[in-house]
Amino acid sequence: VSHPRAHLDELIHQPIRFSIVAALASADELEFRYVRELVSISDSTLSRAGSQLEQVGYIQIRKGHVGKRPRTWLSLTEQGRAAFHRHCDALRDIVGESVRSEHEAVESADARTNPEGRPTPRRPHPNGPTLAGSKQ
Amino acid sequence: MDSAREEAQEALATAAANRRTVVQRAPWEYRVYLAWGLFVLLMLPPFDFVDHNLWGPVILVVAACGMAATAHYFRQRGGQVRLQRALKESRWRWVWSLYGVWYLGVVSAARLVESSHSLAWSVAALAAGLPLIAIGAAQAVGAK
Repeated sequence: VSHPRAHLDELIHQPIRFSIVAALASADELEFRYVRELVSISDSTLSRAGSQLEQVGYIQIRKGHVGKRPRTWLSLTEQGRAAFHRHCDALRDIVGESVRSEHEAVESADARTNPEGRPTPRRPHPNGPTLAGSKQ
Repeated sequence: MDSAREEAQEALATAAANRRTVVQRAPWEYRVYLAWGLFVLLMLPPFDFVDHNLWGPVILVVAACGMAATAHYFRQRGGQVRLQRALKESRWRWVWSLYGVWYLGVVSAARLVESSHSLAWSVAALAAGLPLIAIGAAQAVGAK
C-alpha cells in the first residue's frame, strides 16, 4: 500500500496554486482581481499560476465584460475539480495516517512497558474530543 | 506532530478558509429577501402614528436607497463571485411578481381600514413583511 503522499498532485501542492484552486473549487467562477486579493498575490504571479493550471487543463480562463469594463474569469474544469478533491483526500489521509502512526506508537510503547497485558488507562486519542468541558 | 501532517493540516485549513470567504462573498438571494422583509416590517407601522404626508416621503427615500443598494449588492458581488446555488434558490421574478401583487393588496386593505382600525398598518407590516422573512429564512437554511 503506497503512502498517501504518493497521491498528492504535484501541480496543486504548491501553496499559491493550492490556494487558487481551493478558492475556485468553492464557486462556479471567480473574477481575476478577486482571486488576486483573496490569495494576496500580484497580477503577474496569478497570471503565471493561472497559465500553468490552464496548460494542464485544471482551470479555464474566460475574458468578458461587466458593463464596459473588461474582466477575466477563472473557473475550475471538471478535471481540475476532480484533481483538487483527490489532492484533499490525500491530505486528509496524511493527517489520518499520522494520527494512526502516533496512536500505534503509543500502543506499542504501552505494550513494552506493560508486557503482562494488564489493562492500561486509556489515553485520549490525539485527534479525539478534548475533555475540557468534563469533570476531571 | 510530524511536519507532513502539519503541512497537510495547514493546507486543509487554507482550503476551508478560502471556501468560507468565497461563499460569504457570493451574492446570496436570501439576504435580499431578509433585508426587504425587515424594511417592510419596520417602515409600515409608523403610518399608524405619524402623519402620512410626513412618513410617505421617508419611505420613498429609504425604498429608493434600498433598491440602489440591492442593485449594487448583486452587481458588485456578482462581478466577483459566481455561485449558481446562491441565486437559483427561487425563481425570483415569479417571487417578486407574486409578492408585488400581495403587497399592493395588503397596502390597499390597510388604507381602506385605517380609519376604523388604529393598528391597521402594523398588521399590514406583519402581513407584508413576514412572507419575505419566511422566504429568506427558508433559503438561508437551504444555503447552509
